[in-house]
Amino acid sequence: MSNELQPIEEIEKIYPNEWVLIVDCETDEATTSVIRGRVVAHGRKREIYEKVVNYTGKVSIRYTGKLPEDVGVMF
Amino acid sequence: MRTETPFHTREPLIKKVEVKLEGEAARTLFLVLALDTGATNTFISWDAAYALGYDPAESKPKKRIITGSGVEYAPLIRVKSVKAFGIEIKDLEVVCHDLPEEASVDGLLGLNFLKNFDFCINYSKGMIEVK
Repeated sequence: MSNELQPIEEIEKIYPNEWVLIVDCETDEATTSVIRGRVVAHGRKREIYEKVVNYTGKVSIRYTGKLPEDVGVMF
Repeated sequence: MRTETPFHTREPLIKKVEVKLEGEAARTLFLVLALDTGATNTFISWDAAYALGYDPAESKPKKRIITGSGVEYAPLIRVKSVKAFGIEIKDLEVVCHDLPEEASVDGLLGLNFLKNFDFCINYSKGMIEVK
């Protein structure tokens, strides 16, 4: 994992279909979007949340993949 | 105030709502929630609530929620600030309820947030317009 801030698009390419923990986030306040940040953990969702307590400031947790096209969603 | 948030019309809309949450902890959390006009409340996972400095297990108020698979009672917390589409709502009531990991989102942005402004999902423009 890099110490440099990476654009969110690059993070999604490097860690496809995973939950990622991103810290030191730079954000667009107008759209509430994360523009870039530093990935400090990736893997399953539960593993990510176990590590979030170690970080303060602007933190993002997200899944980098997409829903499969053949899957329906009804919450 | 008026904002426009683009989305890809060929992808599920639920991936596109980035939400900023501030709670009791010394961190600001940016999560991806599903935009759900069929949900009365905004929901986040138990883990997200913990990350914001709340303890859902200790929460006395419970919300009766009706889901596609039954009726249950879920902890209710008041989150200091929830911001999406550039609009911030303070002291928002949020239900703690886990969605399956495969849902690829950490909760739902529901009507108790959305009712505070006018918004339009403009599919022909691929834009969520908020004012």
